[in-house]
This record gives sequence, C-alpha cells and structure tokens, in this order.
Amino acid sequence: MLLSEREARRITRKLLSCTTADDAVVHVNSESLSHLRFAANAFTTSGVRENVTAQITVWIDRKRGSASVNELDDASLRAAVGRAEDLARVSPIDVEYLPTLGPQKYRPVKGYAEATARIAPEDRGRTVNQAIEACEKAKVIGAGFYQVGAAASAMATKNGNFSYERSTIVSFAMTARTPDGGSSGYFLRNHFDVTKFDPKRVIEEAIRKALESREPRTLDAGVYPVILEPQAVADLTGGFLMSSFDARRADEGRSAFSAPGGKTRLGEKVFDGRLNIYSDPWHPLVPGSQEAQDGLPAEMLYLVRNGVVENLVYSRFWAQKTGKAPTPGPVNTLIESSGPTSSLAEMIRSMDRGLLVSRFWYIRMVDPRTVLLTGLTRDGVWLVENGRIACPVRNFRFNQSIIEMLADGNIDLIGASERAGGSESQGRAAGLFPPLKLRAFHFTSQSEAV
Amino acid sequence: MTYVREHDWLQEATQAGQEAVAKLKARPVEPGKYDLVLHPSHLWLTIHESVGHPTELDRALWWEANYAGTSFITPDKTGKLQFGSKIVNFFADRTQPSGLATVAYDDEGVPAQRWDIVKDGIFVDWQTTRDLAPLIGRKQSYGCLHADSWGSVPFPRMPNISLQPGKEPLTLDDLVRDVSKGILIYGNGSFSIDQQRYNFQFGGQTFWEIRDGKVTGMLRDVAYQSRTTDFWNACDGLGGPDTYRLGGAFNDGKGEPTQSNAVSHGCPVARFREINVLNTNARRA
Repeated sequence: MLLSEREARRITRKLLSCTTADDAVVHVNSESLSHLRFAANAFTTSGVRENVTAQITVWIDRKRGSASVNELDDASLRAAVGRAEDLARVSPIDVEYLPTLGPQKYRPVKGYAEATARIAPEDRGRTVNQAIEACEKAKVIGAGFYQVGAAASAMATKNGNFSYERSTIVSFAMTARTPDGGSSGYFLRNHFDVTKFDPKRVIEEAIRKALESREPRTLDAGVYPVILEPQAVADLTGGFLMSSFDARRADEGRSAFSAPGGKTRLGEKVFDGRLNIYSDPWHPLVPGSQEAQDGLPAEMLYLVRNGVVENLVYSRFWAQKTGKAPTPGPVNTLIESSGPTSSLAEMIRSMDRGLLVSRFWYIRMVDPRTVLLTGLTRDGVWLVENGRIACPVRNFRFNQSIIEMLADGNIDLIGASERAGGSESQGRAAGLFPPLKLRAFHFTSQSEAV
Repeated sequence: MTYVREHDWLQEATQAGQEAVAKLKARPVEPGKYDLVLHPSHLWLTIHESVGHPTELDRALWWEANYAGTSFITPDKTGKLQFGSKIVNFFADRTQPSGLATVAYDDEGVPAQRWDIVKDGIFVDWQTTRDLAPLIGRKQSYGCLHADSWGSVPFPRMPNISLQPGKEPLTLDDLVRDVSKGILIYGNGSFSIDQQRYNFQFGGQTFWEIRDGKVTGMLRDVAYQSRTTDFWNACDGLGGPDTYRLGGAFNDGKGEPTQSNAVSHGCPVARFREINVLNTNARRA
C-alpha cells in the first residue's frame, strides 16, 4: 500500500521534530514491486514486495550522519534520528555541506497511472502465458520477466521544503532462443501507463529476432557502418552519456567536455547538428520527476541543442563554488532529431554494406575522457548488403567513444525516437531514443556467445 | 574486523597518491600480444567473471537466459572440457575463512562445503542447489541457494571460488623473470564479458611493463581481451601459497529483480602467455 501525501507528511514531520541537529533532510519512500519470471517455457518465480523506508540525514556543526529504518512507529523513527545524530557527531566536517532548501514550488508530473498500480497477479500470468504459448508455437525456448512497480516518495527539510510524488511502471522483457542454442532474440518495453503498453509487441519481436538470427555467419571484427535500433541506442547512451555532462568533472579535466587550460566545451558544437539531448520532466510519454538534485524543482533542460553543448550539470555545491546556478535536472533522457527522421526500413534500404544491431550488453566505461565504452552485441546482429538484410552474423565486442559516435560527420540518418529502457537496468528506467545510422562503429573482437 | 584493524590504510593512501601522479607520466601501451603477470588484486575479478559465472548450473540450463545470460559450458561437458592448463585448479568453498560468501548453511539448510570446479585443467563440477542437483544426476546440493533480503526470492548464487596456488613456492619476481615482453597488472578497472562468458575485456589500476625479466616502468591505457578457455589454457605459471590473496565484491548482480551477492575469490599471482592487449585511448587509436 503506497503512502498517501498526508501519511508521508506526517512521517516527515515526526522525523524532523525528533532532531535537534542544525539541519536535516528526510526521505520517505513506499514501494510495491510485483513480478513474474519465466524460463525454459515455464513459470519460475513470482513475488510481491511492499516496503516503506524512512531516511534521515542530519548535520551537526557541519558534520553529517544518516540512518534509515523501515518501521514507522514513533519509537523506531526516534531511534533512527538518534543513530543519524550519533554518526554525525563522530564524522568529519562535510566540506560540501550547503543548507537544505526552504519551501519550493513544484509543477507535478503525470507519471502515475492507477491502472498500472492495480495490475493483478492474474494479469501478469495471462501475459506470460501468452508468451509461453507463442514460444511453443514458434518452437523456440522463452525466458522473460514481467514486473510492475508503484512508488510514493516524499522529501522534507528542516528549512521548510516538502515534496511528494507517485510513479508507476510496467515492464516486460523477453528472450527467445532456438532449441539448438544457435540463435537468440530479445525485446524490452515499459510504460508508466498499462493502458498504453503493448506486451504483444515484446513477444512477437523477441521471437522474430530469434528466428531471423538462425545460422549466423562469422565476420571479422573491424570498423563497420551500423544501424542501431532504439534499444541499442538506449543501452549505449542512457546512463553513460548523461552522467558525463557533470560540470565538476569537466572543470577538473576529467570528462569528455573538458577543454585545455581548465576550460570546458560548453557552447561548442560537439555533436551532429541535428541532435538534441534534453530532459523534460513533463514529457507525456516519458515523464520524469518534479524534483531534481537536492529537491530543486525540475525544469526543462537542454544539454545539447542542435549539436551544441548548451548546459553542463552543476551540483548545488559546485555551482556555489564556481559562482554558477545549480542545474535543475536532468530527470529523464530524451534524444531526438531536430530535423526530418528516417524509418528503420529506409536506413536499411540506404545502406551499401554494414551491420544492423539489435542491442548491446555488459557495457562498461573504459575511458571517461572520451566516453569510450566497451561491451558486446547480443540477441541479433545482421549484415546489410545493397539495401537488404543479407544474413545474421555472430556477436562482436566493441570499444567505441560515444562522443565520436554522435559527432558531426558520423551520423548518417536519425530515426523517430521511441520510448525504450536500458536492458541492463531491466526496464526500470526509460527515455526516448532514436534508431541511428552511423558511418563507423568500432568492433574490436568477435564473440561466439549466443 | 581483523582486516579493518590490521590493514595499513595510510600506506595504501600514500601508494595511491604516488601511483596517480606516476600515471601522468606513464607510457601509452603499444597494442599487441603480451605475456601477462596478474596480481591477486586484479585476478580475482577475472576469476569471478570467467570461472564463477559460467559454472552456475542455472545459467547452463537457460534459467537466466533473459538477463545475466547462459553459459558456454553445458552439462555434457562435465569431466571433459579442457577449461585451463594442467596447473589450473579451481575450488568452490563456502567454508573459506574470511570469504564473503562463507556461511554455515545456505537458505535451504544445506551445510556449507568445499568442492572442485576445475581439476588439473578439466572442468569437473557445478554450483548447485537442491532444485538443480538432480537435473545433472546428483543426489545432494552443494548449498548455493541464497536470497539477498527478506523481500527477495532465494535462487542460485555463487560461493567463494578460488584458484589454488602452485605447489612450488614461486614469487611474483620468479614469474616476472621468465617474461621477455609482458605487463604486470594490479587492481581492478573496467570489466566486461559476454552473456555466455566466452569473450572478456579487463582493465586494471596500474600496469607495469616487463622487459627481459624485469619491471621497467609504468604503462597506461591497457586492457586485455581474451576468450575464457584460451586464457586459462595460456596459464603457465602460478605463485606459491605465500602469494595467495582473497579479493571480492559485495555487489555481484544477478536475477530478476536483480539481487546483490557478496563473494570472494582467492588466487596466487599468475602468468598467462601471449594475451591480446589493446590501447584504450580513443584519441590515440
């Protein structure tokens, strides 16, 4: 059962009333997570977890301590406050301490759907059953995960700020493999509103990709033109690129947006001129949060507009230190073309020779100064020749700078963006990502994994 | 607590500072084939990814196909697969002192135990639970069922899996002495491996060039790429028991919803011949 705003406010007030610290911020989160998992064409595990946590952070003489608790009776809340205060007293000075925010005005975000919160075990079972039946009909082996999350979160400060919001998400991911283990297909989609969610597409796409990946050819690693499906773009850019816009790292020479002489690349055209990378808390398809860092009211924020780096992200501390304004975001990730878009079919038709990539996996940062990532293709790579898909190919490892990948001259075509979530985050996050046709992508070795 | 009290934190902080400064003047690595001498502070993670995960039986049976992945090892390869060279022996051990996955009993009440995973280079056994053991004809579980909290579904998780030290009392210097062109690697950096645990790439914290049996200076921008069985079959030198160290992680992710497992991997310093090394600096590539 999610906390109502009234209940959440009562708990935050109680926590704040228990402390005599100089400053404090409290967070109260309630969550319901229900899930159903299947593998080898059979149900495996199912569960529902409901939890409420309260966390308090206090500062005493600029020294910080935190504690959390998931029992909300008065004695437990008081004990948590006591633990936080005890820790603060033995902690070093928090050199980045800034007073917590006073009252702020938030513009609510519509990221909660009652229909999603009410998804019943039978609904999850019905969808997974449809997936298993479809796998059996197609003679493939299915595995997947259907999850429903609902959350209500509140934050309050000793200086009088209060925020409360709710969110929901329904997510379905599925892998289909041919019985010989020779090919595999995957698809993942999520939505905050189940009435706009299409699990049938997940089932059909996963099975189609598995069937169309049979008997893959082995190609040498090397530099290839590629078409990346939205899932592949989400996997590469969702977390790693967005976190690289941090202003402190740029100022200190540790990021791709650092420039010689202690300067940054703010205002520089780093990316393809059609590319917009931004955050929109109120986007109807991928709503973010009303609350950005430290409780600042979230705002629409362009990090990149028409290829130019328009904003770096200043934390409250770094903004104060450098005389800048703290950045009210990002709270979601939207990557779109400011110009005309091309369909995936048009991208394939226009390709002489290259690779179509379905998704990436096990992506890790190798060098933050160029956002050089390594990882592998997974669950579907195809050779495109003379405007047509010629055959499936085996997987590759890549080592690729995302800055170079999105730079002027490397992007050929950009498609219409759609809602997708990074597959390593299991569909708990989402953004808007386009398919991309790129002139060069660096594959550094071949992988026989399926 | 022993580790927290006895570890020389100030020495480590001093060393980290000195190494950070040294990295500014380190020479970029030339890509190519190198012999690698890997310190336990680095090698434990390679063991975790390339030995720990592919020997989880649930992965081999496709139970984790939708997220963590499957395994290049299948049950029919038990007792047959030449996983590594003859000096390579891996054991699983939930009784190992100071191990992060050390318990008295697993979540099904199966007592903690020790067993071989790779014996004289041959893959010989799996990580099992009571559900899994009968599926490969075993009568008893090795006790690998674990949930990370009250709100999680118990499922197969990795025990401590470690590489046995060599029988000879060889030191790091002994292994370096027999290398004409190589790299000595300490610490963990970037790591990535495919969903069946064949193809991997690892970075590190510090990289030291080896020329004609001697460590000659610091290198930068190093990562090595290999294939699991090629890599472990290229192992031709193991340090003795005195070089054995435990490393580990608190946050090994697996499952849907993701659960976090703490696990340790012990190993001696080890040498691998002719491994492919990349230069990871895209600006120079």
